[in-house]
Amino acid sequence: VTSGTAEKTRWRSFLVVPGRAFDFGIDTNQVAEVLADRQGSDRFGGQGAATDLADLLGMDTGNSANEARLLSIRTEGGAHMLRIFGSIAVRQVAPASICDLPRAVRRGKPGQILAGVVFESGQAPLLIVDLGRAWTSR
Amino acid sequence: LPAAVHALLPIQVSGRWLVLDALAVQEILGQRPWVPVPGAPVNVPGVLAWRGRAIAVLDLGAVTEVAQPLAPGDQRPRAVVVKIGETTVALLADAAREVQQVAADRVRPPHAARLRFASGEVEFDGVPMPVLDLGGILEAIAGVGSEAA
Repeated sequence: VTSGTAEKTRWRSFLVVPGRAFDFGIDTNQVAEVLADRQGSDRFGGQGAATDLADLLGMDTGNSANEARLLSIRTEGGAHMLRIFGSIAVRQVAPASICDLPRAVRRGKPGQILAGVVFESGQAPLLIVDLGRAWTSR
Repeated sequence: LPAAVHALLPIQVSGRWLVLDALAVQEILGQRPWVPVPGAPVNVPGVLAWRGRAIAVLDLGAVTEVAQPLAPGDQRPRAVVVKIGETTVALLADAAREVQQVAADRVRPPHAARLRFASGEVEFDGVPMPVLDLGGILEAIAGVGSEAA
């Protein structure tokens, strides 16, 4: 608090993709559009044009039986389509609550696109995926 | 402590007692959920929250080959936070005993309790237990010891 005025927290918004024991978060600034899978495939030339989040992370996110959606992603590396499964939500996070990941756990290729983790009581841990790194590191 | 006395902490991992240098121990926590990180090495499979940051989980069972590697969702009743140099990691354990003050000559070369990364052996209640070289473990695990974790 400064001079009687509450200091504003600059929240960051993440699109949350639920996983088994934790969630994945994608910065909403990187998401231009969320589309149904069929709608996106029609517009962008077939399902092969999209990358599955599970493939990007090298793991089964546990949602493949659920409805698929396509995210239109814009990064400095260009525009891409990302396929995700399951329900999505938006979560706001104070930047100070984003913890860096130790380098020891980021040695694998999927780890290189992870930007941090958020632990908040009452909520699933949130692993933040930096899609800018995803397509520039390929 | 006089130089001739070691402070040692016995912890149990999958039924096997292992001994740590108690001076490296920062805190012994109860069961803490840990987050598996996609693509992380098997010996350092994830992170847990500690004092406002994320620290690596070191799978002591897998490293010493006394247990199967931790799988996502596996929990242990204790998380022992240790700091070696600038590196802080959490070791998941089934139990931890009180710190034992031990005369240096009671720590013998590994014999009955030979184990990967055992630098010595000490007997508590008639049970020989390997004393682990935590620094050696961190060095060996792909440079974990060369960073601030």
